[in-house]
Amino acid sequence: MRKTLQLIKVLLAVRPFSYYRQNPKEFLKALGFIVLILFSLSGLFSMNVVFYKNLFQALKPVNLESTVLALGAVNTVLIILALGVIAILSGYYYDGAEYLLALPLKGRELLGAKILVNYFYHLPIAVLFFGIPAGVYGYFGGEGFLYWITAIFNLFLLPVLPLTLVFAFFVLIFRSFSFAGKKDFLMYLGGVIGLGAAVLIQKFSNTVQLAEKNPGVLVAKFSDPNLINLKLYKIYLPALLTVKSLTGEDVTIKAFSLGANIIFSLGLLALGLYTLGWAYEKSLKVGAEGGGGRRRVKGELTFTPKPVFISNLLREIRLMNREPVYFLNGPLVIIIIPFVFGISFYFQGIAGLSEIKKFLGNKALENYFLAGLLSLGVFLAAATNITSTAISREAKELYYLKSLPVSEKTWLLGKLAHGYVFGIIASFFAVAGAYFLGVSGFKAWFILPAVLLSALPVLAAGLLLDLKRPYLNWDHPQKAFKQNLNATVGIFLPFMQIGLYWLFLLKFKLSFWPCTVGFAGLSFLIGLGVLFYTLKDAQSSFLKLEV
Amino acid sequence: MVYIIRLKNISKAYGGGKVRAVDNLNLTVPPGEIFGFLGPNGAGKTTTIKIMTGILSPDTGEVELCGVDLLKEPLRAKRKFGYVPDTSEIFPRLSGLEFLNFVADVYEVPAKLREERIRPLLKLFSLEGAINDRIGSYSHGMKQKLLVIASLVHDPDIWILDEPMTGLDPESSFNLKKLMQDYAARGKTVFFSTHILEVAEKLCTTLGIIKKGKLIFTGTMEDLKTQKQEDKSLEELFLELVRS
Ligand SMILES: Nc1ncnc2c1ncn2[C@@H]1O[C@H](COP(=O)(O)OP(=O)(O)OP(=O)(O)O)[C@@H](O)[C@H]1O
Ligand SMILES: [Mg+2]
Repeated sequence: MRKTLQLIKVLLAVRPFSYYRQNPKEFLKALGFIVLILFSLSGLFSMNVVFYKNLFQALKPVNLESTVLALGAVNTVLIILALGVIAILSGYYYDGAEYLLALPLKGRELLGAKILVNYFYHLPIAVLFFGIPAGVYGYFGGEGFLYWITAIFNLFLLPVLPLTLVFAFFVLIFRSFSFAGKKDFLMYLGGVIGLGAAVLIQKFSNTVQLAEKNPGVLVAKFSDPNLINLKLYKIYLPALLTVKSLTGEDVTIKAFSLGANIIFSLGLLALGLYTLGWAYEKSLKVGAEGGGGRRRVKGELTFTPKPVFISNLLREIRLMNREPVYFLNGPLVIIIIPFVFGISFYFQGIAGLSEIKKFLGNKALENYFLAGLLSLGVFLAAATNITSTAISREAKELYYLKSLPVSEKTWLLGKLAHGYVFGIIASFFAVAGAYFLGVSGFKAWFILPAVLLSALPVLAAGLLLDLKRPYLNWDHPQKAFKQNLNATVGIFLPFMQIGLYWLFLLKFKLSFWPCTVGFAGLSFLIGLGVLFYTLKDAQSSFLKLEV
Repeated sequence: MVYIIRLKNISKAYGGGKVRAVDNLNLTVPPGEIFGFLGPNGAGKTTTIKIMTGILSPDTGEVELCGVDLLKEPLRAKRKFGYVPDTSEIFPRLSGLEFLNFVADVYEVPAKLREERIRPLLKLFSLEGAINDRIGSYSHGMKQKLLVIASLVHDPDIWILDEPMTGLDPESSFNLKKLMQDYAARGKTVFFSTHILEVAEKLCTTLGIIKKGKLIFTGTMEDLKTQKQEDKSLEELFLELVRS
């Protein structure tokens, strides 16, 4: 147990409080990340509150309000199952597994640490999807102290079993089939499943909107015993026990249910650890054989010279796309975001569209579409973080590059070009979006140069930032992205830029075309300024880079 | 006297001046030499090599390679040498061939010359079978050999290697030593650091010994023996020098 806890500390990179006291900057960074996460979850949070409140009030008159809790429990389990799969696909193995395998650690300690770490990551899900319905039920039902305590117990219990199940499933698969050298594939698979999850959440948000408009539909839908979520509720014992422990007829039933739930969940966890620990260890050994992933890149011994700039750009693109962590955070984002937008529009947009059209008039609507797509394009071009992590990603390779007879400007412009490769993809998505929304011809294609021009300040600033303050001392390539503050700043910059654009458009009521052309032109000029500044002392900045 | 490598009053401190890694170092190497750079761990060998290759800038001093000032004309000077770094953990996601072609593109080596230079070396180091695999899947020695090949694609006048024998099997190590000798025989210059004194003793025409950032000896093996007035092995002489 002690060893497991130590492992968890290492995995979570837990730092003692004194560390933060000595490094207030790190503390701010950590705090910033937490705020960022809370911020991004706040939408989902309020959506959930509205939904369950409506559901509770709709079902109360027919005495079916405990459905709120059942639904919460089942949804939590389903979402943790889905997200758990993603988390495990991308984090089944230990980084440096070979080293850990040489230590006197038992398989169940390794597995236990992994499950517990994932438990912490998934606890917020339980808060979001069970905590809210339980809160709504308790608040509007006027429940007492005992209810709240029981609810908290249940909240902490809920993620245990789904995670155990997901791990058990994957341990058995990974032990039997060698995924050595296919770790990359697993991560991509995780990304695709993530896409599916995004679609599901989108569907859920539609249900919420439906509920707001028409409570009658809610009653009809959720009092239907054939609803799949409620069927699951009857089969999945922990969910049943959870609800019974909160709504049972008397204290004995409540206490018994809670006790049974604890024993059941923790018991299965313990059983899983003891029976599957060795299998997990074995699967790690199988995985460790893969090393860097021996993969054949097809082709004979070919020597085709290319200009330095192109050759270097190719190198950049290959290094990025072949590192799954980078691929998921960068290039894939550019595909997923337009996809999610598209779906969301497809589900809810078309219906509302005609109303908005009536309200705004056709031409104004078109302009807002174009402005929105321009914003999306600029955001997408920056969201890949190609330039704002460009130096950090190289890290030790910088030493080698610096010994080559290539000017610093060439390296930097190559990185900017790499950013623009994705800028171009983003701008094409924006144009496609225009056609999707029924804008075509010159107006649609105008977005392409507008995105490319407007993206320059963000891409150039990202480059400057990462050149001046790179994060070079990492042990895992992921950290060049995830622990790099530049990546965060790189995403916030376009928000500011786009915000200014909309400010002029909406608040100061500038007419669309002058405002947009001016925005693109001015952005480009500012971008050029930043770029020249970056290139001006490129040589000395490069020399200062020491790993 | 013509010098191919010339370091003049080189100093470099790390950590805001706390660690003086290289301390007012002067060094010259004429063409055709195999220069062995020796010294205990942390003596400043790698730092010196990084300064010579333009990776780090010295706090003070000048570097001249084939008569070109490295600090004033870095691009021209960098074309003069090929460099094998002390770490081989680079570009794991490129294939060996992609890496070699990238380096050759950088030095603008035409296709025909690439082929002429790379093919025999791949064969010599038995890397042909793995050349289309990702570098990340290579063993340490394989990566090391790949870097050796990459450093030779442009047939440089100076060959700078930082502990190149580490991790090589006996056969590869033998081949590398042979390459270095052939290289010097063509009038070119080899500069390498090592901890293997037997290799240094047999291979090097000149030795340089560095301790705490200061060069405490340069000359031939014979010079060292005369200076110490003892007919001992390099190992014994080296230890005496470094311990004193
Ligand atoms: N990046 C760095 N930051 C701070 N100090 C450094 C750094 N790199 C090297 N040093 C210090 O500089 C000194 C010289 O190191 P260097 O790597 O040049 O030694 P070396 O002779 O190559 O040693 P070895 O035989 O172990 O390779 C050492 O004291 C080392 O601690
Ligand atoms: Mg060294």
